[in-house]
Amino acid sequence: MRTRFSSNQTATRIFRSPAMIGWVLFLLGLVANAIVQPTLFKLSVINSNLGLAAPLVMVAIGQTAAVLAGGIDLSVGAIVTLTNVLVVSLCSFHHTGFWLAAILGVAAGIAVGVVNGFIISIVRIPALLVTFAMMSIINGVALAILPQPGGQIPADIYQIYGNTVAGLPFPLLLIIVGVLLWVVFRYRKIGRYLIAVGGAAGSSRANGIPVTKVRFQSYVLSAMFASLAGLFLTAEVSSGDPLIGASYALNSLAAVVLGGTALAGGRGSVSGSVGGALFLILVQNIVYFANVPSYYQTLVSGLIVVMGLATTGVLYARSGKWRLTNGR
Amino acid sequence: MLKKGLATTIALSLVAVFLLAAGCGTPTGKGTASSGGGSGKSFVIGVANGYIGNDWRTQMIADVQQVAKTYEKQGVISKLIVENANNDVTQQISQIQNMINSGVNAIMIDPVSATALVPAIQKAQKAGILVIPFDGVVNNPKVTNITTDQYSWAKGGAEWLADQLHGKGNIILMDGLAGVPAENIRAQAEQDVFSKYPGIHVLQKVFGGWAEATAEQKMTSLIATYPNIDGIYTQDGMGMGIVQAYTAAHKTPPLMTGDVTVGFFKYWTEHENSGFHSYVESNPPGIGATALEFTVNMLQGKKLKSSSIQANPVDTSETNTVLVKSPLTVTDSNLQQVWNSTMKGKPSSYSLDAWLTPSQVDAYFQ
Repeated sequence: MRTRFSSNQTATRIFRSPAMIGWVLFLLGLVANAIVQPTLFKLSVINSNLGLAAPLVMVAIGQTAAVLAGGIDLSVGAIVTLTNVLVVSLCSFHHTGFWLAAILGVAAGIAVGVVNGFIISIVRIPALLVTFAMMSIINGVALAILPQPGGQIPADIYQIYGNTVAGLPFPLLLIIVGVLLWVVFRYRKIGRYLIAVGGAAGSSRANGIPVTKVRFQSYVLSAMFASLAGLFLTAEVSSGDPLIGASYALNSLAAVVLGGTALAGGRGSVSGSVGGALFLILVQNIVYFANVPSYYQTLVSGLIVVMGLATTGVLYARSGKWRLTNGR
Repeated sequence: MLKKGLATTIALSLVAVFLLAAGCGTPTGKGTASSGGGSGKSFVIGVANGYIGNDWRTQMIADVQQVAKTYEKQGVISKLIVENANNDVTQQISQIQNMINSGVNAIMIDPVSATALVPAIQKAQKAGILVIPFDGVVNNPKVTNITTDQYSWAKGGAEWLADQLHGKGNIILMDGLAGVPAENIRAQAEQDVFSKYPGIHVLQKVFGGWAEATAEQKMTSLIATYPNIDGIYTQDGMGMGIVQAYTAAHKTPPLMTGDVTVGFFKYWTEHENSGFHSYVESNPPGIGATALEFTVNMLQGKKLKSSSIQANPVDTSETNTVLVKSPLTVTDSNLQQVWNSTMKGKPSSYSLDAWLTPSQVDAYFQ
C-alpha cells in the first residue's frame, strides 16, 4: 500500500494527506491563541496546556484505530475513568505501589477493549450499541470502585508530570511516546489492515485479510490508548474521580474528524487526529482570552469546532477522497 | 468549482472568526491586576463555575454578578471574569489555568470535583492567588471553602419527612447526581436520618440529576412500579418534576419535601387545602454572592475568626470550611407569608434566594 507513493510525489502526498487539515487547523488555532494570549509560549503555560492535551491526544489516537477499521468506540471515556479510579484506589486504599497500580489500571482498560472487540467482531453486534452499553457498565463499575472523588497518588508523580525533562515539557514527551507507539502498529500488518478493513470489508476478506481479527484488534488498541490517557490524566489531577472521563468520548471523535479521518472508516491518519486534539485544547484558550462572555463561550467554541469540521469535510470532498458514508 | 468556492468561503470565515476573536481580545486582566496602591486596591476576580446547565446555577452566577457590580462601582473590583465548565474536570482545570496565566487576584471555584482540582489550585496558590472554593468544596488544607451546610440542609428535610410519617412508611429517595461532592454529603445525612427509623422502608433511590425533566421521567416510571408510595424525599431542583409526574398520572403527590422554585410554591399554595403538604429549606443560589463577600474581605487582608472555620464535610480530617446555615425554612405554617413577600410574580424558574449582607459576613472575621 505504501508503495503507491513514489518519492518524487512526496510534496503532493503531504499536501493531499488527510492529516494536513488537522495540522492546518492546529496552526491557525495556535496563531489565534498567540494573538489573544501573548504569554502562550512561556514554558509554564506550554506545560499546563500540554498537561491537559496529552490525555485527549492519547484517546484520539486510539479512537482513530477504531474509526479507521470502520467502527466507533464510545466507551473510551469510561475506560479513562476506570483506569483513573483503579490506579488511585489501589495507591490510596490498598497500599499498592504506583507503578504496579498503573500496570493493573492499564490492564483493566485493555480487558474492556478485549470484551468490546469480542462482542463486536465475533458476536457481530454493531459497535455503536456495544460500546455505548459498555460505557454505561464501566461508568457503573467506576462508581462502585470509588463512589466519591478522593484518594491521591504519590506527589512526585504529578510533580514530574507538570515539569520538564531535559528542557522539554514532560507531557510532550508522553505525546511523542504515544505517537511512536502508534507508529509501531501502523507499519506492521495491522496498521495497513485497519485501513483496508474499514474501506472495504468484503474485498479485504476476499483478499485474505483476517477481517474479524483486525476489527477485534482495533478495539483493543482503542482501549489501550484510552487507558494510557487515564493514566496521564491521573498524573495531571493526582486524585480519583468517578466522573472524570465523561467528555472524552465525544471530544476524541471530534478530534478524529477534525484530523481528516472519515467516520465511515478506511481513510484517515493518526497524526491528523493529534492535530485535531491539540486544536480542541486551543479553542478553550481562545474563547477565554478573547473575552467571550461566559454565556456565549460554549456557543462560540462550538461554532469554531463546527467550522473546523466543515472545512475538513469540504476540503476533503474536493479531493474526492472523503465520503461521509462509504456506500455500503 | 462550486465546491472549491465553498471550501474557500468556510476557510476564510474560520480565519475571520479567529481574527475577530483576536481583535476584540485584550488579554484578560492584563494591567488591571496591579493594584492602585493604598486603600484604593482594585481586584480582578475569576469565577470558575463547574456547571451552568440549570436555573439554580444561572441564578447563582447572576447573584455574583449583581454583588460584583456594586463593588465595581466602589472601585473595589476592577473586573469579574466568569467561566463555566460543562461538568467536565479537564475543562475546569483549563479555565483555572487560564485565570492563573492572566494574573487574577482571586479565583472562586464551584468545583466539579473535590479532589481533581488540587494540583491546579496549588499552581494558583504558588502564583500568589487567593483560591476560594464555594458551593461545593475542595479537599485541600490550604483553601477556605465557603458553602451552605449541606448536611444540615438534607437532614432537615429528611427529619421532617420521617416525623410526618410517624416513623413508618414506604418512601422514594430522589437524589441528585452520583459522585458529586454535595450529593455525597446529602446522601450521608439521608442515610443517617432514615436508618434511625426501622419502620421507614426505602423502596428505591434514584438520581434525578437535580433536573426537573429527568425527575419527572424517573418519577413517572416509579409511580407505575410502586402503588404504595407514602412519602418522597427529594433534593432541590426536582420537586416540580415529581409534581408534574403525579399530575400527568391524575394523582396528588404524597408527603414530599419540596423545592425552592416559584413553580413549586405556586402548586403548593394552590393545593394546600386539598391535602398536599411539603417542607422546603432554602439552599440559596445566593451562596455565590456570599462567597464573593468573603473573597473581597480576604483580599483586603482580613482574617477569619478561628471559630468560623469548621471541618470539611467531604473530608472531615481537614478544617477548612465556612459552613453557612440555610437562612429560611418553609412549612405549611409560613407558606402564605413567604409566597406573598418574596415569590409571587417572579418567573417560574426563580429560586427562593438570599445571601449574607456585608455586615453579616463581617461577623465571621476577626
